[in-house]
Amino acid sequence: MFEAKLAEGIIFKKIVEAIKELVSDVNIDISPTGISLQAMDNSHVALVSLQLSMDGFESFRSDKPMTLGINIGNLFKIMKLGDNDDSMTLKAEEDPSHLTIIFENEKKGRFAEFNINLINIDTEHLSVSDNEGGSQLSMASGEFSKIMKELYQISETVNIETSQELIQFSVEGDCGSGSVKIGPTEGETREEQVVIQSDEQVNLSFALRYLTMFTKASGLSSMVNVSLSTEAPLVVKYEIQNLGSLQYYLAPKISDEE
Amino acid sequence: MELNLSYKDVSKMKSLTDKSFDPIKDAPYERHQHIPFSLVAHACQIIEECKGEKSQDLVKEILANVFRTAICLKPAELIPLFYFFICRLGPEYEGIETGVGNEMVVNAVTQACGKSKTKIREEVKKIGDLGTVAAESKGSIKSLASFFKPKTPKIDKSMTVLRVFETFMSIAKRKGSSSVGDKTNSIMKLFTDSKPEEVKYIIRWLEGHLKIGAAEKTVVSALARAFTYTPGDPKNFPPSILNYRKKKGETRFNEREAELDETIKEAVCVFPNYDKMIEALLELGDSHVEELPKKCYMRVGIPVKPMLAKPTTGVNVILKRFDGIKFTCEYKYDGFRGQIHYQKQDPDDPTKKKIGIFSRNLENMTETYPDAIQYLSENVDEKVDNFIIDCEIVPYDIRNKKILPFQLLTTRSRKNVDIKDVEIQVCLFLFDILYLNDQNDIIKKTFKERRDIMKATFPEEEGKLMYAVSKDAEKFEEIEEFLNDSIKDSCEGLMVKTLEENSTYHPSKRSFNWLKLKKDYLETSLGDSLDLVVVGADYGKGKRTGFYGSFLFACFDEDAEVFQTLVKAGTGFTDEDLKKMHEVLNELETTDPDPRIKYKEKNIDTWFTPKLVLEIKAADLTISPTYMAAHGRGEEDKGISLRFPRFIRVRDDKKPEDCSTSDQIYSMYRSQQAVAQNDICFDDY
Repeated sequence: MFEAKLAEGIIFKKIVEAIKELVSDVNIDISPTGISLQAMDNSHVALVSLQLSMDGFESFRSDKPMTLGINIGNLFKIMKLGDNDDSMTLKAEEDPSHLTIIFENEKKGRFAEFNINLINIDTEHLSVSDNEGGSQLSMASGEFSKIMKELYQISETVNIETSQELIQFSVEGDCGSGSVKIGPTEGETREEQVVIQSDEQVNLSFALRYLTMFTKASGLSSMVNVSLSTEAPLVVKYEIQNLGSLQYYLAPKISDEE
Repeated sequence: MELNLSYKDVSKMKSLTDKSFDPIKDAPYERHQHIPFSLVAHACQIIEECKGEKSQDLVKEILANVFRTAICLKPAELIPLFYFFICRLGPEYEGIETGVGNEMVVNAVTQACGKSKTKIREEVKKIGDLGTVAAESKGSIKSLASFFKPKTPKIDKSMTVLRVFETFMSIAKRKGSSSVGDKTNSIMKLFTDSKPEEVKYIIRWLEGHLKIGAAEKTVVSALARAFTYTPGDPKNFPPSILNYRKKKGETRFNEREAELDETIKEAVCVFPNYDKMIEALLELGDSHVEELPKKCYMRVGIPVKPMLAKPTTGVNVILKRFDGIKFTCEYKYDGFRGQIHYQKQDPDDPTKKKIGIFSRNLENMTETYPDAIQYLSENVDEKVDNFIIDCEIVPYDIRNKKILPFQLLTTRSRKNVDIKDVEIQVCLFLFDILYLNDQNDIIKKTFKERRDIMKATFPEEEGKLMYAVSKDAEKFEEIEEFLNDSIKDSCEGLMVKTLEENSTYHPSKRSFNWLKLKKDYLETSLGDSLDLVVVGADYGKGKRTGFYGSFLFACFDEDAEVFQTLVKAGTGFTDEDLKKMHEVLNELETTDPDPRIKYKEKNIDTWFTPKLVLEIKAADLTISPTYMAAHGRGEEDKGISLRFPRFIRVRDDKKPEDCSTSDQIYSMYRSQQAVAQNDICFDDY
């Protein structure tokens, strides 16, 4: 038996929204300590990894580990049925055939319950690791999202180059070329701060199609962490307050010219 | 017992062309495994490399050895394996198609390999094959698996023939506009899970052609060879005979192979269902393959490949051919070939009749002609239990007793035609019978006898069911006169058939016993050629890679000073012509059409500035919804196009404005007899 109640159901809705374009079917893993999910996109170039700790839930009960295979498109349809100020409960029996989702709103006196059928998904789990060393960037998630979207208008590929004090995003498209340079700032609030730490200088290219998909998670956190390393995929990480984190991994592109 | 889970490496396998290939020991898989797709890709690759004199035999040998491994180790997967090589999913008449267009394949490849669509298109233009481009792109992707190790030890996830086939099947089953995303995803999954050399042939398959130089006929012959080497043996493993050639010697082997090849091909003609045929072959096993016709025979409900006629160039050819034997001339109607199957009691529902209509290509057209179905269901004699007849389905004006142009039928949709919506009725012009009341030897009778049976079974009714007009002729003048009559009566020409000698019905054969004589062979109509401007082209594929494949032609409308599209043509060009054309036209390429070009829909890859004039000959003119020539002069919102256009020469001496005009084309169209005959009805619509 599994049952987890989240006071702010909207957080879960945002999570689903943030991954629904990247992956279609996912296995949600339930353990006694929390909920996690790992899935790769069809081309195996990008991966999303979600970790939610039981501590962030209003209540959490999981008797034994289970895996719930879910079609994200269908899950999102159900998430849209909940109101933004509803609480949300996820529930599943032992050897479940479906996942129950309950939206509750005491103020409005509303109680809604939906079942979503589970599916069997054959996926392989990768043992992902965080980047150590390399270059790290921490900045406001909204700003990062804006840069990615605008560069995507110009080109499908972005080249990211880091140095001690600077990260440069450059594009070359049919209509022209350009670059955005970001240096460290000491803003008054945390959101205004840009922190760059570069132990190793990198110069890599990535598909903006994926990077813009990742920024769908901006609603979950005001800050984003990007880490780059020559020896590993790019990692874009969004912390979800008190609950855990949503991380994306992306393999670098081999140049089109090859 | 410990099972070996991973596959053997195909590149280290014994050569598939080796005479001593052992379908069990040398196969890259074992009985408990599915057939790996790598075997198919490997076979395709080496077949593609076969060149020279004996290559056809080598191709057969390679395919036969691939099939032999399946006969021995995985008989159940022989059917999907076979279908892969002929780029189909099932019998033609069942019409199972993936519904995947070039656009969708390109999109899937683009998304799966992360390259831009423009880049992919550019490479396709350069190499001329999307399969190769996809394979190369696949090889250049860096996936996350190269960074992170899987948590669980991986079982062998090699692509299998079964998975490829099942994915294609599931793609075929998904219908509707929302299915596009699902289909694209399925293709992407195949792309991701296959190796580059496998991707190449999966993509080519989706494009409808493996391009390995092995036609369906060769694949079927290879199947015959495989079963000659190693007859199926459902009861024993290993099969009692593994290598008939080694056991009985070369001569016996060759004889038997030829015999089986013929048996299979004949069976396929009257029973074009490879699933059932392969099942039968596997079941019959050693020395009983000649029993195949007893399992695969003509039956109501399964279309027979229709007999076809050889084209002729003139009346004298016919006289030479039919000198001294009895023959008949029949009107060749300009309609759709229809093979009608009738069963008084539907086995699934005895209270109902079961009637099916199949096209020349064995497609099920039953839903297209509810008017014909209704007529048959109400008018066939009670005493008739079942039959298969061959006829031409022709649009017919029952009030004026006139045949209408067949184009009027092309507007009918393939499926779900409601009888209430049918405005233009069809008439069935019967000309042959293949099967009647469970007698399947009717095709062995002479044509004269068959025609008598047909006439005795089906009474004529004006505008509903009529016999093809025929005349048993002997003299040259008679044929020519009859040919002219046929054209006056809005037919395409004549079919000339032997009446008694050599006159059995040969399914699927393009036989010299049926000759067709069409009006353009006599060069009566459209003797004059046209001078037309090239305004667009498709990029060439295959042999024409790097050049243009076919060209879009336009005529000049003097009133509006515009170029109206008329026809697309790619025949009549020599390689040298194509090279020269490419040199000239390359300079004239434009992304957007020149404003003077008037067209209805873009059906080509690139546009040209109207400049180059070519001389074109054609069989005749026809109404077309796709082209703009003489638009507005004749039918509402329809233009005129050419049938069977072919290139004659370049007209360097002509300016584009000097080419054939819309007025000229329209008056040529008007003077065509078929149109003159139908003038009244055209004005009616």
